[in-house]
Amino acid sequence: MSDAGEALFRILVQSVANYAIFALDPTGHVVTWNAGAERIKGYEAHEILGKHFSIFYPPDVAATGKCDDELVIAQREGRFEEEGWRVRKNGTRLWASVTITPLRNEGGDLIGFAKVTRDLTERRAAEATVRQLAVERAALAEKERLQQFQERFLAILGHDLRNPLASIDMGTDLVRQRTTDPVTLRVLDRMSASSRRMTRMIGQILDLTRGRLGGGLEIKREPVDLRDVLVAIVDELRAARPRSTIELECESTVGQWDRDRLEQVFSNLVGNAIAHGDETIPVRVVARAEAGDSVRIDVHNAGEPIPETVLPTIFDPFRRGDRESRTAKTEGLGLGLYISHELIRAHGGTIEVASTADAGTTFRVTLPRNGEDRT
Amino acid sequence: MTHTVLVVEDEEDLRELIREALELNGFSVVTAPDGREALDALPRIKNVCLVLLDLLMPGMNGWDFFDELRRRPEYGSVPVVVHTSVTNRAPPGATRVLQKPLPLAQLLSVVREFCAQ
Repeated sequence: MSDAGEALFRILVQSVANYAIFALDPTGHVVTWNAGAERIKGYEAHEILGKHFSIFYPPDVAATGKCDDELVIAQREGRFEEEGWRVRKNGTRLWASVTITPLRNEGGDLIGFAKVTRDLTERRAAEATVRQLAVERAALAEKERLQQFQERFLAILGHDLRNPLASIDMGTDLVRQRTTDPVTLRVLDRMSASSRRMTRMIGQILDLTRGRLGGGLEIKREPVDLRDVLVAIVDELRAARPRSTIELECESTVGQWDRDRLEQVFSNLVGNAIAHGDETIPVRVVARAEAGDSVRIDVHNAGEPIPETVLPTIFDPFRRGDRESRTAKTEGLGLGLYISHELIRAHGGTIEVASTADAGTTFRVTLPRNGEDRT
Repeated sequence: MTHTVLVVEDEEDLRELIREALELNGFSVVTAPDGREALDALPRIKNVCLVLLDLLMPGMNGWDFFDELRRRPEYGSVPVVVHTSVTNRAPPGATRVLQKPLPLAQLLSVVREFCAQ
C-alpha cells in the first residue's frame, strides 16, 4: 500500500464510529484507539493507550485469565470470535460481538492483535423483548385455550347434561299424570328422586368448577330477611323429615345477601345436622346479631361428633370420598360443605365447625350484613 | 277460539314431551326447533297465547328470536316464558323465567295462566 493509501486507511479506521477497532501489542496492551472504540467503551485515547485489554472485561471474568486465553486461541487458530459481556468506562455492561485477529510482519512474527468490537446491547435487549413477548403470547394463548375449555365444560354441564334430565322429568311427570297403578307410581317416584339427585349433583359440579376454575362463585345481592330464609328451609325440612325436630330462633334480620345462595347454604347445614344428628334431640338453628353489623348463625346437632381427623379438611371438596362407603347419610358428591364455605366466603363471611362428644356439632356462620364480595 | 302455545326447543325429546303433555291437558301446540322456524311458524298460528322459549339453540337462538319477535308490532304483547338452564342470562323483557328441568305441574300452571284450554 502506498503512503497515501496507508494514511487514508488510518483515517478510515480512526473515524469508523459503529465499531471499536483498535490494536493490541503482543501482550494485550492497547496501542491504537478509534472513534468507535471511544464511543462504545467510553475511554478517550489518552486514558486507555498502554492499558491491558482485560480492563474491558467484568472483573470476575478477567480474573479467570480468559483474556490471555483469547490471545492464545487467536494466535493458534488465526482468529478468536465471541459474543459476551464487557464493561464500559462508567462501569455499565455492554453485550459485545468481539473478533481478535493476530497481526504478523512479513517474516511471520507476531507484532500484535487487531480487535474489532461491536455493541449489540440494544439488539440483545430487543431480542430478549421479542422472546419475552413470544413467551407472553404463548401464555396468553394457553390461558385463552383453558378459558375456552372451561366455558365449554360449564356449558356442557349446565345445558347439555341438564336437558336430558328435563326430558326425563317431563316424561315421568306425564306418565304419573296418566296412571293410578301403585307399582308404576312407586317406580316413577324412584326415577324422579334419582333425576332430582342428578340435577343437584350437576349444580354442585357447576359450582365447584366456577369456584375452582372460573372467576369464583357469583352472588347477587338484594335486601333479604334472614328469618324468611331460615323459616322456609326449616319448614321444608320439617316436611321432608317429619321424624326430626328442628328448633329455630331468629329475629327479623335484613342484610344485602343472595337469597338463593343463602337457602343453599342453610339447607345444606341444617340437612346435614338432621342426617348426622341424634334423632331424639332437636337440631337447633340460632341466629343472633353480632357486634360490627354481622349476624352469627349456629346450626347445632347432638350425637356422634365428627372425627378429629376429618375436621381440618371438612370444607375440602369431595371429602365424602375419603370417608366411609356410601350410605344414605353421605349420599351425594361430598361438595355441599365446600360449596357452602365458598358461598359464605363470597358474601364476605366465615364458616367454622366445632365438634365434640359432649357438646355435639356446631357449624357457625358469621355473615356481614353488607359485606364486600369475595371471589 | 283456539289458543296455541308455541314451543321453541331444540332438544327433540323434550320438545315432543312438552307437546304431548300440553296437548293431553287440552292445549293446542305448535313446535319449532329453533328461533328461525318459530318465526316462520308464527304467521300460520291464529292465536298465540304464549311462547315457551329455550335460549341455547343452534341456528337462531332464543335471545335473537326474542328480539325479533318484539320488533314485530303484531307480536309485541305475546307473553314469552323462557325455559332454560341459564336463567341468569334470560332477556330482561321475558314475561317469566323458568329453570330447567321444570316439573310438569309448574309448566301446566304457567301455561294455564296465559292460555285457554
